[in-house]
Parts: sequence; C-alpha cells; structure tokens
Amino acid sequence: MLFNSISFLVFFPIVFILYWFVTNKSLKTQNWLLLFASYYFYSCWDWRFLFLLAFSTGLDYLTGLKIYRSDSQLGKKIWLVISIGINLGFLGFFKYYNFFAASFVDFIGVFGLKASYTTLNIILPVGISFYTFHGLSYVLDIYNKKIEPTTNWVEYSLFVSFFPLLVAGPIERATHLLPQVEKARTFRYQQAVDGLKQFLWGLIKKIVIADNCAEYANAIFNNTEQYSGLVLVWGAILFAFQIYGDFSGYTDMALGTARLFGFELLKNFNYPYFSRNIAEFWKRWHISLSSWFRDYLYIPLGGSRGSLWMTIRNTFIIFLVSGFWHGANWTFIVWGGLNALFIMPSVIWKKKNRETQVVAENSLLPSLKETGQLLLTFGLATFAWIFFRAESLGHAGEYISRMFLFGSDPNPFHYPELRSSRICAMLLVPFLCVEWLGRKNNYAIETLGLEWPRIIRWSIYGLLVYCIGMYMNTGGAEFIYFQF
Amino acid sequence: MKQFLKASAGFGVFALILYTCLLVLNKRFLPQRLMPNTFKYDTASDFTATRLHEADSTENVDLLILGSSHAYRGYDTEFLAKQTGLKTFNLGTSAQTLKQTEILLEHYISRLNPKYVVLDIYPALLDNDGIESMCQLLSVEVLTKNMVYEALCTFDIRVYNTLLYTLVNKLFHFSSDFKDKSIPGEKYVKGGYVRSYIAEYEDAPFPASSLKISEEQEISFTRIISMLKERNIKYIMLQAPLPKERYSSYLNNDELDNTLKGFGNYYNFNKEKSLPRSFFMDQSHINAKGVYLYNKYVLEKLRTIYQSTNLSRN
Repeated sequence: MLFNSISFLVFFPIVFILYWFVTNKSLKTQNWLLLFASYYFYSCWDWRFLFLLAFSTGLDYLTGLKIYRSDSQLGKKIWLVISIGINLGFLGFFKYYNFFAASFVDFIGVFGLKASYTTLNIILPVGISFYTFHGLSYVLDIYNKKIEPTTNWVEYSLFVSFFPLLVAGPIERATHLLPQVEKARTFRYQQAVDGLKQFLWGLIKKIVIADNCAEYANAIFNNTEQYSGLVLVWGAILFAFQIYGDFSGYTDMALGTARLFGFELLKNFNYPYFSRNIAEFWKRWHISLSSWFRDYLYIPLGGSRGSLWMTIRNTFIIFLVSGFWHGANWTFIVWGGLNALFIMPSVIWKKKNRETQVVAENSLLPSLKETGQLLLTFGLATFAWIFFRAESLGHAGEYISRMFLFGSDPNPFHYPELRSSRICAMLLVPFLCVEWLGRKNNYAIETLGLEWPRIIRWSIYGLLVYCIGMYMNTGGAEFIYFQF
Repeated sequence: MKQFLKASAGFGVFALILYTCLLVLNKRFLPQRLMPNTFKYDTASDFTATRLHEADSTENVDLLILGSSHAYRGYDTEFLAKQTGLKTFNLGTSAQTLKQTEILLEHYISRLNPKYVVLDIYPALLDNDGIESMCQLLSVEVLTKNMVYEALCTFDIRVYNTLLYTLVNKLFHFSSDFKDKSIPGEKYVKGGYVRSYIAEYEDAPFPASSLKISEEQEISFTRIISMLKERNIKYIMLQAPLPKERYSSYLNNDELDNTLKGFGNYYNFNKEKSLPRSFFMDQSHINAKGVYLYNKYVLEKLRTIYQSTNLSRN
C-alpha cells in the first residue's frame, strides 16, 4: 500500500476514526489498533513476510531483555552477537546472497579458477533494511546502557512496525519513539493540521516532482547510447530531483501521517540541495541513516578522535557501508566511495559543521560565493547520483563518458520523446522557490501564510491541490527506497 | 477534534470549488501544454461529437459498426448501405476499447435497435486502459449513469478532470469548447464514417510486441456478446487492414486469432491479404482507396450472418 494510492485513502480514515473515536479511552487498545493496522499495511505488499517481521521483532525484544538481565559482560556480549548475527544474516540472505555469490565467482575467475553458483530468485522483503536497523539500534542502545528494555511486547512491536515508517523510514531510535508509544497521546489541533500540510507537501514532491522527473530520467538513463552531452546532463539533473522528491516526499508523508496519530518522527531531510559542501549535504540527506551510521559505526570505530588517517579511514568505511546498505551492486559502493572522496576536503581541513546554519539565513538570496558553493555541491551530488541510478559500473562509465561528447543535438527539448520534459523544468522552478523560501522550516510550507487570513491560506493549499490534479504524473512510479 | 473535522470538511468543499473554477478558467484560457492532465478534444478530426449527435437522432438501423478509429475510418456507411440495402450506422470512436464499446452499446442499443453488428477489433487496444476514449466520450457529453460510474472507477485524474469540466459545462449551460475539427482531405459521411483521401504513410520502426486481452477488456467482451445474443442480434468480428510492418511486429497474431474465435465469427483481413502503403492514410489507418477494397472483403464476410441476395457484388 502506497501513501499515494486509493487503498491508503480508504485505509487511513478508517484507522484514524477508530484510533481517535473508538479506542481513544485506552492506550493499550490504541497501540493494539496501530499494531494491527501496521501489520495489515505491510501485508498488502506480501503477507508471507509478516512472519519475518514478527520474527525479527521477537528476536530483538527477547535479546534486548536477555542483554539487560545478563549478569556478566560476556553474557551480554553473546546475546548482542546473536541478535546482530541473526539480523544481519537475514539481511545478508535476502539482500546480498546473489551479489556475494556472483562477486566471488568473478573474483576467483581472475585467478583462472572456475566455479558455478546457484542464483536464487529471492524476493527482497520491503523495508527489511529499515526495520532491521530499528531493531539493531534498540539492542545496541540496551547493550550500551543508554536505555532499559521495554517489557511490553505490543509497545515494542509498534515501535518497530509503526506503519508510517515501516517500509522506508525514517529509521527511528528507541530513545525517541518508544517513549511516545508508551505515553498516552492526546489530539492536538495544530499538530494534526501540520500533519495534513506536511502530507500534502510530500504528495506534491512525490507525484508531481519525482514522478514527472522519473519519466524522463528513465527515458534518458535507459537509452544512454542514444544521447550525449547536455541531454545526459539533463538526465542526471532530473534523476537528482526524482530521488529527492521521491524519498523526501515519502518521508514528509510518513511524518505527516504519524502527526495525525499524535507521533513526532525524526526529521530525515533538511533541504540537502541547499548545502554549501558535501559534508553539509550529508547532514541534511537521509539524516536518520547518517546518524545511525555515525552513532553505531563511526564513533565505535574511533570517529574523528584519532589521527587524520584514522578519521579518513573511518569516513571511507561509513560511506562504503552506507552505499552497500542501499543495495547489492558495485554501483552503490562506488557511489558511497565517491561521496567519501568529495567529503575529504571538509575532513582534512576540519571545517566547522554548519548543519544548523541555514544558507543565506538573513537574506532573500545567497551571495555570489554561496551560489557557487551551492552549485558545486549540487553538481558533485548529481555526479555521484549517476552511479546510484546506473544499472552497472559499465553503464555509469558509458553515461559519464558520453556526457563529454557533443556530437549530436545538445538541446534535450529537440528530441521528440524528451520534448515534454519541459514540464519538469517548468515545475522545478516554482518548487525550488517554495523550498528556498521555506528552508528554515521543518518542511517548506510549514509557516506559509500562517499570519494571513484563513481564506488566503486555504487558497494557497487549494492551489497546491490543483497543482496535483493538473501536473501529477499518471504513470505511477514506485518509491525508489522501497527496493532498499 | 470536532474543530479539526469541521475545518477539514470546510477545506474539502472550498478546495473543490476552487479546483473547479481554476479548471474551467484555465481550460478556456491556457494552452493545452500547460495542463497535461486535461483532455484536449480538438487534436483529432474524428467527428465524434457529430457522430454521436447523429446517433441521438437515428433510430432502427440494420447494421451497426462498433470499434475504434479503425471502425469509423474503415467502414464506409454509404458504400455498405448501397451494396446491401441495409441502413448502416458507424458508432466507432477514437481509441474505443471494449469497455467503451460496452457503454455505448448499452446506451444506444434500444434506440438504434440493430439487426446485425460488426465489431471491429484493433488488437493493440485489447490491453489498453481506455483512458483516452473515456475522456473523449465524456468530453462530448456522453454522461449516462453507466458512463459516469465507469469514469469514476478509472481512478485516473485525466478522466476526473474531464468529467468535472463536462459536468460544469452542462450544469451552467456553458458552450462546450469540444468542437469537431475538419482537416483538408477528410470528410464526414452521413452514418458516422470519416472518408480520408490522405496518403501520408511514413516509414517508422515498429518494435516487436505481444498482444493480449486484459482481464477487464475480456469481461466487457463477454458482456457485449451476451448483450447481442440476448437481443438476438447477429454479429461478426473483423480485424481491419494494418500496414504489413505493423501487423508483423505483433509476435502472437495466431494466438490472438484463436482466442478471438472463441467469442464468435472472427475474420482477420491481415492474415489473408495485405494492402500496399498507398492505401493507408498513416501508419495505422486505411484511406478511401483502402476502404473501397476492404469493404468488399467486409461484404463477403457479412454473408456469413446476412443470408440475402441483396448483398450484391460490385
């Protein structure tokens, strides 16, 4: 079930009404309702994998308790290893088996050895990377004595499988979400209105921006050999906005939906394309994953506390692992590596983190220097996205090399199949303006027109609804991050 | 909570009114390219409005032709009437899938009351979502109960926009901007046929593809046949000529023919003959020259359901 589907339009009001009108007297019943709704939500994709979700939940719930109750450090460690081993084992099997088998055969082939392997037709369970990381953070936090385990199985299950975040995050922390699950929620008008507004903006990002860009980005990436020069540059730019609209749009819808049930989820995006360097970009893109790797991998490895070489090594490790988390393909690993490379100037010269500082905070437009920094950062991020989108390293190589060929017509709008991609350019300009004007907020339209009369405010939201009706892409592309 | 529900409902009504106003205003004043999710009727000279208007004032025909543009461009009502003595009407509309054929047949069957039906099958439409055709029929104000229900069931924003726009036009008696457009070389013939003297076939690659009937279309197909049988209307199914290159790009023509034969008498012109390029107006449709030849073939096949000496040979 997708947030932008008719089935969600039916599912959501039913759960909302039951939640606030029928089960509102008892926290326990509300949590049961949300848990049932979440499992139903997940089963709409493939009910067979409910067992995997339930098993993973049960495993982390039990190992969390065992770690906490073990008297010895060795006992704690054993339970931790069991939890991590089984969680990563599932993830490895479903996500990486074919990749490792193929890579191994290729590798020994270099030495003249031949081997065969069986490719398994494995279906990747939706959201496995997300809920596995939820569970792992819970167990690791207990091991590191940051939290105490919950003894309420329903509350823990809801923390892992709460439907707005189940299939594509944000990757929540027990320290943040579990207390909200345990505490009675009251309906707050402003929070609910905020939720609806954020959902609306997320919907625009997904079905107007991302899906329209996807149509032409796919056309260009799938027929790389037919194009060159600026057409391929246009394709990469379209993909950059596709993935931003797709993932941050999904996140906005998830956060908005959660708000309507009285929950506040972690912020996952903070206007990443308004970053002045790649380090800042990574503080603003998929924040819940970056901070997960920072807390559970980068810091335990020593972070930036050791020598410069150690910091460089650790930075490369988390970016390569992060790339690999996205998928079993060398393209993701190279994408991670490239980002690590691009971040090096900030690591080597230890530039101060400016993630909390908004670009051109006190002015309407950025300075010339800031404009240059924004464009360079966007250019580097977009260049790296080529690897993320390409089918293989060979494809990425061909794409990049053809970008520097200027043999054929450089104007993408001269190609009949790309002529309508002008609509993307037409949509991206106002979209970026709204995002720019709202860059200090949690989401772009959070404070838009708040001080104006209701009729004007409603007209603005109505206009956004009209934009959806007029410009939504009818092709209906899936969410990119579902595959991870 | 009460305040929230009241505000949400209020905004819902406000947004719908604003949406409708913007849709009507923009549709009239903005160029089509700025409104991709609306339907522009006058892009094709298919005379649907004229045809349906004529259908509304026609009663009791002998021979009814149904199908897509291959129907209204491929079956000359004048010629067929002259040759058979049968009062003939062509109810073809652009990109008409079996779903729309069913809707139109339900709507017109009592009025037109045909004795014989020719159902033209354009194989590429058997798996089509029917959105284009649905929008077109809505835009010429085919607002039957069944049509509105089917339109709502499409869950497609283009159909909803067209439906809303047409409803507003009808409700407020606005003059419709959906007007038939005539282009040089084409002429509407009484009875629904569009005669074309154009011969602009241009070479183009036809990527290989497999044909199939979608589940939804198959359901409509079965309902159409039941409807015809219930009323004791004799019918045949025909596949009109396609350029040789296009026809051969379909990989499973034989398989499809066998499936279609399961629904009744079915004849595929392309399996028996092929026409040279000069007989086509474009890469898909025959022109008047092609129609002349093809309609002789149609007459032959009509004999299978119409056993009369009236069917003279030219």
